[in-house]
Parts: sequence; C-alpha cells; structure tokens
Amino acid sequence: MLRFFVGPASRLFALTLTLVVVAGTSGTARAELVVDITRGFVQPLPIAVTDFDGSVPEETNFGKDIARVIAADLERSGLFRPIEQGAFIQDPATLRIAPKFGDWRLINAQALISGATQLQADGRLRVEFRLWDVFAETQITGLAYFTTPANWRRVAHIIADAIYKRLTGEEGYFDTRIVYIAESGPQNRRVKRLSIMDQDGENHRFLTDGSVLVLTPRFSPTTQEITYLSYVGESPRVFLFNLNTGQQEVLGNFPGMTFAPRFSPDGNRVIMSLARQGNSEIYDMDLRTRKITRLTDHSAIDTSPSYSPDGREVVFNSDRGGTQQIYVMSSNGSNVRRITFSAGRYATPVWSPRGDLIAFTRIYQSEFYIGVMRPDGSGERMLAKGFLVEGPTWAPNGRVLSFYRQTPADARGGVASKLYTIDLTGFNEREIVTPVDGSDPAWSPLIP
Amino acid sequence: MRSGAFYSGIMHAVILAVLVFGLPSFNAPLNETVIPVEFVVLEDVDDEAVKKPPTPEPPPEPKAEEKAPEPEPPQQQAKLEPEPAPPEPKPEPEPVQAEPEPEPVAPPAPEVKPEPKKEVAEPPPVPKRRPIVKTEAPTKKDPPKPKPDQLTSILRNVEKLKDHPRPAPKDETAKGPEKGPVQPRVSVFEQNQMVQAIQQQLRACWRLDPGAREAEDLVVEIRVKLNPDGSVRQADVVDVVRMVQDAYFRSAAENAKRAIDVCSPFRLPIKKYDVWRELTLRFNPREMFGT
Repeated sequence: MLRFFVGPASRLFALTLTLVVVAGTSGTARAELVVDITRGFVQPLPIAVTDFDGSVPEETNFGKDIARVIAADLERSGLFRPIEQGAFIQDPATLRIAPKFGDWRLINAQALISGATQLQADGRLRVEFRLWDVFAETQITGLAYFTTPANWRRVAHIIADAIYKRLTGEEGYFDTRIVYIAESGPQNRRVKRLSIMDQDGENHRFLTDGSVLVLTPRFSPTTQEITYLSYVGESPRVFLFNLNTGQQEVLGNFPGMTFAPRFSPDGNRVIMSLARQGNSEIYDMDLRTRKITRLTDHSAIDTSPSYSPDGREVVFNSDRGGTQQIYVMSSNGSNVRRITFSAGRYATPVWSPRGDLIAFTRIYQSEFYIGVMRPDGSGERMLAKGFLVEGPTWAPNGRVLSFYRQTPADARGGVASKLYTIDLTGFNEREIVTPVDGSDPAWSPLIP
Repeated sequence: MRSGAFYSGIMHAVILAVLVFGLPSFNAPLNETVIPVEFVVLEDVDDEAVKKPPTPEPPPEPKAEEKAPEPEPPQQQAKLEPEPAPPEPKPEPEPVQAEPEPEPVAPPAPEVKPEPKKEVAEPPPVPKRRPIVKTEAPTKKDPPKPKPDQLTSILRNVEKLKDHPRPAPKDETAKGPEKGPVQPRVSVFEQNQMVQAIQQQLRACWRLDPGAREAEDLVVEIRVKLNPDGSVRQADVVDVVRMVQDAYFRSAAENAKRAIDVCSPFRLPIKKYDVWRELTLRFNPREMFGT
C-alpha cells in the first residue's frame, strides 16, 4: 500500500497510517494516492435558464417572462452566469420530456433550469421548475407554485431564491424589497422621499410626498415595518411606519432628540440614540411595552447601535477613545470593548444577519470606504470606496451589501447619489437603477 | 559512566525521532524543488498544454475622485417642515393568495428518460473528451486585470489600510511522500508527477465560492475511482453526515464533485494505472484565502 501525502497532512496521521499498513494489511493492500487540491478559481457558475414551456400563447409568455426574471436575479448575484439562449440546442418542448444532457454540456452549462406554466381552471397560474445537474445527469430539485397570474414576478423571485439556496447552501434574497431615500431637486432644496422597490429595482413607489424630511430608514427583520428619522417641529425623532397599514407613529416622547434607530433581530425592540445637552447615549425600546432601557452611560458620543443576529450583543460607535471607533457590548450594556484601532474614523456599523461579519463605513484621508470585519475586529477588508460611500445594509442572507455613493459637486453644484450592491467578497459591484437619485438603502427581510 | 548514559539517551532519542519522523531524506520537501515544472508530457496525453486557471473576476476599479470638503453626516441635515405627513401610497396588503404553496415535483416519467446512466462496477462508455471551454469574465464592464496581490487572496480589499503581515506560506503544503512499503514500479518522482498532473488539471475545473460562510474551512474529501482511460467511474464525498447537516458544506462538496466531473477524463499515464485508479482528492481552499 502506498500512501502519498501532499499538502497540510498531519504527520502524526500519516505515521499512524503507515504503522497500520506495516502491521497489518500487506499483500492485498491497494495503492492509493491522496492529493490535496489547493487551487481553484472563482467564477460564476454557467447555468442555462430556459423559457418555461406553456401550451397556449399566454402561458408561453408567462414562461418567457419568468425565465427572464430568474436569469436576471441569478446573474446579478454574481454567482451565476446565465448562458445566452441563442446557444441552446434543445428546445423547451422536448426539454419538458427530458433534458439531453449532452446538448447542455456542449454549450458548457453546468446547471440547467427547465419549467412549465399552466393556467388553471380557477384562473390561477401553476408554475413549476426543475433544476438539473448537467454533469451528474440528475434532477437536483423541482417545485411547483400556484399564484394569481399578476403575481408572476414574485413567483420568479421565489424560484430564483430556491435555485440560489440549493446551489449555494445560503438562503436566497431575491424575494425582497429595498426602502431608500429618493432624492431630487437642487442641493439647497433637495426633496427627500421615502421610497420602496423590489431588490431588482422593479415596482418602484414613493411612500412619502417629500414635504417632510425623512432619513435613515431601517427595515424590521421580521415584519413589514420601517423605522426612520424624521422631525417633530425642529426636533429629530424616531418614527415607526407600517408598510401594510400605512400607519406611522413617533417612538417615545423624550426631552432630547432621537436618531439612528434599528430594529432588534426579533423585531420587537428598537435600539437608537438619544441626545441631550450635546451628549448622546444608546437606548433600547420594547415596542410592546414602550419601556426604554439605557445601555450606555459615558460622556463621549455613543451612537449607531446595531444588534447581533442572536440579540446578545450590540455594535456601536463611540469617540470615547479620542476618535470615532467601533465598540461591541453585551445587550445589557456591560462588557464594552473596542474592536477597531486603525487610523481614521468609523461609522454606521451594522451586524450581518449571518452573524459572521460587521459592515461599516470608514473615513480615512478624506476618502470614504465601505468595509467588513469579523465581530472581534479581525479580517478587516474594504469593499468599496469613493468621495462619499455610506449607509451599508445587509441583504437578509448576509451575503450581499447595499450602500450609496455620492459624487462630489460638479461645476454647477450638482451631485449625483446612487444605490449599489456588492458581494461580501468585494466583487460584483452593481448599481441599482432608480428613477431619481437615492441614498440610505435598507434591505427588507424575505417577504413572508 | 554518566557520559555513557548521556550518549545512550541521545541515541535513543535519535532512534525515536527516526521512527516518528522517518529518515530525513524521506521528508525532504521534494515538491518544493519541482513545483515550477508542469509534468504533463506523458505518453498518452495529447500535447495540449494544461489550461491555466482563469483569473478571478477582476474588480471594477473604483475611480479615484477629486477630494472635496468632507460631506456632513446625514443626521445633521437641514431641517425642513415639521409634522410628518402620512405617506400616500399603501403597499400591497394582500399577501394571502399571493403566497404560493411549494409542492415537490416528481422527476419526469422515467420511461421517456434516456436511461439514467448510474455508475456501477462496469465502466460506462468512455465519455468523449468534453470541451473544457474556458468561461469568460462574466461581466463585460469589468475588464481590468487584478492586481498581483489579489492573486494571493480570493477576497478583495480595495485598500490595504492596515498592515496585515501576511503569514508565511505554510511549508507543509508540498510534502514528500511518507515512507512506507514502496511499490517498486513507481518512483517517488513519478508519483510526484502524477499528483501534480492531477492538481494541475483540477485547478482549471474547481470553481469555488469564497463568500460562503467560513468558506476557508470547507475542506471536502472525495474518494474517486477512475477508469483506465482516466474517466471517472465513481466519486463519493467521504463526510456523508456533514453533507446532510451542513448546507454550505453540501454546496462546497457539490462544487468539488462538479470539478471532478468537468475534468473527466483525467490525463494520466496508463502504465501507472495501478497508482491512480483510486484516489482521495482533498479540496482545501484555505491557502487561497491567504490567511
């Protein structure tokens, strides 16, 4: 028997095997090579998304539209590369019987999506899809959905999420929405409206008319609610807004101003800053009892709190160390520790829903950065930079970030502010196209 | 007397060390000395050079923009009118029938299926060499080449703000063969050649996702049985329990299996079939993270 170790094989392990070989099996032993593969490449998975087949033109049209939205979702994630439909050899009708895997290997597809649409007697639309592994020649998954035909776009997002989840091991994020501040008009009379859209920019709507300033919207991780900053008289206040009912309310009645709100992971509390006489501290409010708890007590400015996904810790920023840096504390305010020690200033830390990273804004030598680090402050990486990049927000699966980037004023004093998404690996930065300028995006949870 | 015991101790220690670590010559990092050479000129291999692994998706280089006075933080925006007006449009409140019920779909009727080729003892018909077409960079608008330092890590950092001293590359990466009963027909050098040929080929086939949670720890071992023509007869993930329990691991394992499928048939010398007919391939991305 021959054992062959390359790579980080433990010596002891090797020795054990060798001894076993020497002591026992000798004549019948098979030669076996152990090879460590330590180099690969990072590229999107080539995937063939075929038009979903239908029997009548209406079904066929739904099938085409659904396939288009699925392909666009997958492509935008940066993890998949939908193959041009013009290259397809097998047509949707015969594909419905069975894939000719050879045809799909020929065009280098590694995964294949087929599907069918069917209008039911009760007026509903049935959409089914199958995900195939082209090389293993097996069906990986297959599901069917019933919906009102008007809802085809959402079904497409749900299917894209199912495919994404099956192939990456991660929850999807396509069936989500983003609220943000739509900005229009000249710099000195900027109109800011709370707006909402699907994560791909579709179904855009303005939620407020712009008569009142609205800032820093944040989505509840569990409900269709938003908390944000607006004004009562001259005083900034944290508001709660229910997307389903349109109901809006001020959170609490404090002598100072409240700002920088965020929901707790269970959606039952809002953590925020309350400023009085030039000092701001972090408070937590239980939305059911309206009871508030003070978490920090320091002469420095403590703000921008964000809960860890297990609700046990809070990340925030403070200038108690001399410059504005990021700190983590237990959710009862104890055990405060600083996690950033670099030059420059840190702002708007936000804990990933996946728990493994904290995103933040960093200001260093007049440049802004969006970065991520582990919750202990290690592994800091800058993903995006610009004259002004701000407001990182996580997709609910903790894989993708959205933020906004503002350009410096041009000769006529105009600035442009756009929304972007970026993968946490630092690749695949994409603009989210909005009807007007945008800032302060906030990602919704998966729509229930 | 005392020195006798001393020397005896030394000798015992040496013998023990030899037992544990093997003779020094066996542990010499042979690979280190031969790494730069591609050993693919084997008699049954066509002349095609081993494909170079594609470079990682080049980052869209953020444009350096002119500096200007620092913009004020959003919280200090000028105040406008008081009284927050209720927002006009109401978002759709009808999620009930909107909620589609997923139901599992059975695979299409088996009779129409071109018989599923399930691999058994008998080697399947030799798959024709699949065109291992290189995938182009995914987006047209990302043409710039990655900076050299990005080659050492698959995670991107637009700015090195901290001086993270990069840990020295681990030296055990390319260890020589363990000592043991050596097959007379295959020299250590030839084994090295085969290992490198396999590594080289899989390098161009193994697509991984560095953004998965704790991706650097997703080490996948696959036992592979090969046919004499280098095609894959069977490939089984060793850790079947984790396949079921850990969705990230399953995804990583499927990527590794796909790499083996895409690389099949492997180009290896038929004369040494006994050596490579059964392999354990260990896909370990840690080095690529440069951590």
